[in-house]
Amino acid sequence: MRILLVEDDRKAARILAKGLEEEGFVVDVAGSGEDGEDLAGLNDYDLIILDWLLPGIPGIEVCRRLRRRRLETPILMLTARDAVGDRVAGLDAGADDYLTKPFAFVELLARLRALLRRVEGARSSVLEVADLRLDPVEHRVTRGGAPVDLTVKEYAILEYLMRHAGRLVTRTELAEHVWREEHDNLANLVDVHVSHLRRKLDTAEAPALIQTVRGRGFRLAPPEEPGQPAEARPRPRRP
Amino acid sequence: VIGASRRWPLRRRLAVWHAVVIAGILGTTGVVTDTLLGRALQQQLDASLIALAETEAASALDDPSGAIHLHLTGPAGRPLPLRALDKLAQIVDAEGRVLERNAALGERTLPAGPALLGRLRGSEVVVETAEIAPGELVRIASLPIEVGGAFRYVVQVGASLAPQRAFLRTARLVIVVAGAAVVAAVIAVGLGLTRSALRPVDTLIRGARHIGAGSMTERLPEPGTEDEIGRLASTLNDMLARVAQAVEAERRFTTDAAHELRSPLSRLRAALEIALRRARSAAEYEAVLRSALEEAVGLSALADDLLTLARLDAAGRSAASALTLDDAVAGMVGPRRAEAEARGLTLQVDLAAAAQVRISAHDLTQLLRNLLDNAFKFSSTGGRVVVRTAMEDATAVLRVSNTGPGIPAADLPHVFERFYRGAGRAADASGVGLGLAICRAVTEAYGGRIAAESSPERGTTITVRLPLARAS
Repeated sequence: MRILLVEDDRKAARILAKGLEEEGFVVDVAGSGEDGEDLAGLNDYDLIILDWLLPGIPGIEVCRRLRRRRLETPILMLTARDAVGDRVAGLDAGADDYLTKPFAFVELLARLRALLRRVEGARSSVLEVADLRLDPVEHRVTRGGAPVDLTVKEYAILEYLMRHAGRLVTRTELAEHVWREEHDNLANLVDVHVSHLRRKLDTAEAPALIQTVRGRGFRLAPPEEPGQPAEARPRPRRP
Repeated sequence: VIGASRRWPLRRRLAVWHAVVIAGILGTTGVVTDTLLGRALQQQLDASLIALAETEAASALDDPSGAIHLHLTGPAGRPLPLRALDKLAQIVDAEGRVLERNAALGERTLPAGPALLGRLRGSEVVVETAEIAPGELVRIASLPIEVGGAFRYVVQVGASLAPQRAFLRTARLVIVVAGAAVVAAVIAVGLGLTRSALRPVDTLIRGARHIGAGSMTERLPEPGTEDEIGRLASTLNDMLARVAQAVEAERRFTTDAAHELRSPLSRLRAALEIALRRARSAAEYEAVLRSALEEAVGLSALADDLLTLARLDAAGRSAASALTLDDAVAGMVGPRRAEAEARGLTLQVDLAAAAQVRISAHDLTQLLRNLLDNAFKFSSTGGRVVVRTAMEDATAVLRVSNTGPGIPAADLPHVFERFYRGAGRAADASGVGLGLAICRAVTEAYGGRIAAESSPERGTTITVRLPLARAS
């Protein structure tokens, strides 16, 4: 899951980015409203965390502009202001949620998960495909009830595939949402990690869940279901 | 009554006092008028009675027979003058025996007792009031007639007092009724006048009730007149504007202070929570602890600054002592040389104010420390910071200049505002924008003035002027 963090307080941004990355998120930091707006237009983010008090254009205005551009990525606003009027203004500007500083980091994580769920239209926090279960709260993955031990990257790949289960996910898309850095042979890296992931998930009695769409990418779907064509289900967000 | 009347509305009090005063004046006037009127009527009656009696006396003995006789005999004789129509008349001899009386008297007689006769013997006119029949008061003028130098007869002319009494009663009634009407009119007009005069006051009161801490933008309705009420409203509105400004500044300061306290607390909390989420190496823990310590140091500096401002706002100056400016500055600048060197700055001190200023050493230290902090922070490496003192126009002047990019013209008027940080400021520059605000608070607490001047790419100079300590 790729997050855009727009925060002018560099120290705070560094701390938050580090914490979020340890949770498996890929975090881009923008130090001003302008930069945030540019980055949001450039990359496809799963979430945007927006500080209210920014030099130049304020966070609420960034929020308004992104929404005017029909960007539907969930936006969580962070602020030291907690007047009711401010909260109302923030939500009305198009923010999906609002968190007052100082906040508990676990609450931020829970709200981010809730926002991701809302995009998928799901109520339960646990992701399930066939007998594969992924619990984003505990970071636990089980297959047929048996725990599966994954690295941070493998977990991130699986979470992204499961959140978009049944849909074709290209290598580039996967790389964008799981890796932060630009790699020369990112496609190769994706393949390597996916093959590791497959080896851990698939056993003799459990059939393969991650299908390779030759030359394009991957699709995670229950084995008996052929999976719908990518065009039939529009992507929930437009960059 | 006075105590209760204090709780009455001004309108009622004015009307009541007005009515009481008018009623008093009218009452006194009425009593005096009544008395004077009664006396004037009496005198007029007496004069007319005496005149009739004298006429009678003069002609009493003019009969050719020489017998004494009355002219006021009534219908049998010649027509009477109008003023004598209702008069009673009689003639008595020196012993009070009635010799003759007119028809108006009928069978009655006017009293002529020994006391009256005695007084008439001294040959004077006597006018007195007597009751000749129950309830019938008569005014009588008695005049002696002498024949050959001897007191022989008395002519008595009387008139009933009833018409006079009736007239006085009517007059009294007119006075009382007219007075009451005047008092009622005064109350009504007074109430109306004061009501219309005080209506703008009621409007002001209703307006003022609306204005509270939450609605400081509202103003009192101004009647738009140049009178006392109009001036009161506009004066109050001016005061409200100043109060609103102060409240707004206070609110902004509180909001800013909360934000500046929350930001480091938020970082601290996030850093510690994230660090505790998993086991880490000793080096990682150390890095977290160091950054936490850094935040704690910053927070305590912020708390100190806020307390300093709060103290200066609340109490103004501290216990001041007379300090020689040059000595104090020299003592405070010395310890900062090492820091200046470490920053690659030249620190130049140029002292020429041997005069004394009255300021607490603590506050002067705060002032100088913040001025130097500011100069150091905004100097480019290799730059120069100059601390100068001088005597100008009987004030002690302290100037701290630094070379550097200078302050943008748009920011210059605001540099002494609390929590003001220029828009062009680097995001990671330390400090929250209280340093120069403290400088101004200190300077103004001791009756001084502070000013900033800056030119782009040259540098900035902050000038502090402090009044000299008076020799006492």
